[in-house]
Amino acid sequence: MKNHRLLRMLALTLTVIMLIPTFATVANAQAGDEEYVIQLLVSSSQTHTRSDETSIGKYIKDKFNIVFEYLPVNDDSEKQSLMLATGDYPEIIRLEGGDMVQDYIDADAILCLDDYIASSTNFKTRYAEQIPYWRASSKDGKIYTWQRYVPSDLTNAPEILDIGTRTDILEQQAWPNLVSEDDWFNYLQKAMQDNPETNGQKTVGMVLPLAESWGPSLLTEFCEKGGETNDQGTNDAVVWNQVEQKWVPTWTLPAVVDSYRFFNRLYKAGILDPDCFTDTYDQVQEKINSGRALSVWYCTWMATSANATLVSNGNSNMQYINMPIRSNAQVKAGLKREIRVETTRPFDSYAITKNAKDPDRLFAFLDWALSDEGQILLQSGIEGKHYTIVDGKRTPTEEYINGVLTNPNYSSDEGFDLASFFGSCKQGDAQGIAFNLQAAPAYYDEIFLSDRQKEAYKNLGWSNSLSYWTDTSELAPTGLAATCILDPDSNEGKLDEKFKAWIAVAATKLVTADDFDATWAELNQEYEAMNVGTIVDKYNEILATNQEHYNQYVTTTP
Amino acid sequence: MTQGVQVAGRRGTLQKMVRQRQLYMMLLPALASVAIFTYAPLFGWWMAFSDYKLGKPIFDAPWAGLKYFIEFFTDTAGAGHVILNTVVMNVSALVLGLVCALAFAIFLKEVRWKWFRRFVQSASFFPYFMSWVIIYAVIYALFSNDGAVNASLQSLGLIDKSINILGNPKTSWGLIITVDVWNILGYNSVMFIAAIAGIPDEQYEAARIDGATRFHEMWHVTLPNLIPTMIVLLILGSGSIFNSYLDQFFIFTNTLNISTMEVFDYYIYRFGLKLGNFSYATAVGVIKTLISLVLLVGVNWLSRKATDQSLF
Repeated sequence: MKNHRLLRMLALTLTVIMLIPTFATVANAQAGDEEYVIQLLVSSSQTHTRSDETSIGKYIKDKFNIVFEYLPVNDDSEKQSLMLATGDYPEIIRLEGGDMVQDYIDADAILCLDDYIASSTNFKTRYAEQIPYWRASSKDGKIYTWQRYVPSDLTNAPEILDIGTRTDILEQQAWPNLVSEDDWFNYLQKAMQDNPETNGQKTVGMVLPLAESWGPSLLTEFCEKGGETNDQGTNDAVVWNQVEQKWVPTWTLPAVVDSYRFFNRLYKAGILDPDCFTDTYDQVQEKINSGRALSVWYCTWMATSANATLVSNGNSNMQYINMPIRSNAQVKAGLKREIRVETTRPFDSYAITKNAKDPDRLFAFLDWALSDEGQILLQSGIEGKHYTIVDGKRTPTEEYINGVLTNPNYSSDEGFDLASFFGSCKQGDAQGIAFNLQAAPAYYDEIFLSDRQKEAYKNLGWSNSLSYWTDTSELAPTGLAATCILDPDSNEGKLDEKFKAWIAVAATKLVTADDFDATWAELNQEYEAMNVGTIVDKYNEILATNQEHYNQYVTTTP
Repeated sequence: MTQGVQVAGRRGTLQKMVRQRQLYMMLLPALASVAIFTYAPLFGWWMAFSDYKLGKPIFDAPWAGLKYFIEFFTDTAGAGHVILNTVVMNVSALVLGLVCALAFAIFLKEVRWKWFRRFVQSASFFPYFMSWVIIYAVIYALFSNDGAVNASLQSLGLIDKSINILGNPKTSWGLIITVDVWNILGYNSVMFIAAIAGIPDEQYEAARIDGATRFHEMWHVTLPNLIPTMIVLLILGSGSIFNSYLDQFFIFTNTLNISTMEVFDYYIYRFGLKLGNFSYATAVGVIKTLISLVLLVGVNWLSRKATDQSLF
């Protein structure tokens, strides 16, 4: 009897304990709190749980009483499908690619923004160039999303992603001016011989995160280094020819074949890290942070973030700089490089979902964020703390410069880009200074390159860190290219998915082949059997259709 | 009269249920769990026969018939190696796993020091609870090109170039089978250890009286008594031949070894969930389930015919 009574009391106590948080939550909600907490899915590397833990986030909270709560995820793209299937999506969602956006539109999960845009102040002016493109690629001509990192103009230094390499190795070899694939092969081969170990660990010649889902597309990047094409669309069967303004097949492009051949050469010589096929982003970042990697292909932002770590570890002489590469054929041809400038960027689309508690308030906040004031706050920071005004121009403070150069977590800690849906427009203010001070050509080298990096470029004979590219390239706005979206349910869409699965394996076989030409011939037969030409034709058909739609919308006010 | 007996019988059953209500109430959570998480999701099989679109109600999707089933079987390039990899790795891991667990249990029984026996048994169970992420991190640290094994072999001069075990399609099957056997050894051996504990001592005494050595006891007493347990586990395992741990293969699969590492569940994940093609993924899942069911029934029947022992 006594035991039964004790048991009943225990059960009752446990039940009450479990119910207390529920009542507390309900009580809080019922108190009429105006703070608007918006849950955002973010990268798992985000170090904060709420935006008001950062100085910029606190400013936003004080001004708008809006706070972002971060939910870290590893694979955003997979989550997007699952969230749509369950109806459990956050108020603001990032959608990767036009097909995912269309799925959400078809499911009536995201709001049409046309009415909001018509009455907006900053949205329609900020995206005046993009709006006709967005309408052109939309099935019903309406706008449901906006995109990050657009628009771009010359106030922002172009993004160049070639090879990041250690400056101590460049110094060791008397500052060679590396450009061609032969230059790089010889340089890395000698570097491996002279530096078998780095800080007690085996040195690797070149790293890249091929285990990531986007990894295999890195192996085709010669297509953007010089010639008529840039790397718009090389995840697929097609690549964009900027000069002819049309889509062409990726696999048979000479620059792509040269790209695979280059990596095969590196692999056979033991320069390419043999673990690159199994290394994820974090594992590659670790190798760069430790300085073990002599070079990193394309992912030069990883080298930039590693520099702060190398400085803090006392290895500042190992800092990486970005240097160019072209295939031997491209060097011989001497054609200008078409530097992709994204007019639209469907890969980074954002939408307000039907689950938004207060979509009017959300859009009003977004509209403010797209103003010059908003973009400056979110990309440059707080006046007096992160920048000051000198001769009417925004100038970074010592605190900001030191933070960026020495603390790899500085941007995250301060709240820069605390929510990616703010657009992060690559533009500048009325004085011509980029919203993001790190991208402003006026400060790019003088302030944001470390002494070591400046020394390296000076020894290479460059006038600034971008001089090679500014002399040999031209800007190539993508225009309608990114608006071409294949319907995944169409025959071409299904074939495109099969092709993506095939090319990831084919690329690996080519890079690791003992006989590159024989392997290429064998794979080429498989490629021809797939009849990928239908995909190319479909893309060009979509391009023509979108061009017609664009012509209709381009003179229409938002 | 008969009807009266039936009514009396039914009343008796009801009364028995009321008397044993606490037992039935204890059973309720498990039944509810099976009903909710195993049987209720079967309604989702509708997606396999319809053109389901994300975000729309499942039963509003238009009828597609066997379209996605046919699509799977006509995609021979995708289906062939997936089926082969799944069957080879799972059957090998099942058979080898049971044999190793059997041997492990038998030898463990022969250990005289109780404390050592208990320690080994507990330690053998530990891998079963480890996350596949941790297991892969350990294996990566050991077997990657810069891992401990390659570094040791190179420093001893036994190899010139590191062996890429994690990325070599020729070593995929061996790697997964070894890891699976290691992972499940403790769990499987528990069944055999329990069965050994249930063997009457009289059998061992009788054997010793007849002059049997420890090996003879093992061979003529222990092993025959464990055969029924082995058969039950084999039948149960045969129903799971087409099931794999997705998180295990998600981590171990890469572009180098995908031709020999890709299994059914990973294929469903890649071409179904990742691409939002839920109808296709469900159809492949249904095929997998039906094949597993046929296998389970078939192996059970075979066992009954061959050894007169079966699960049902």
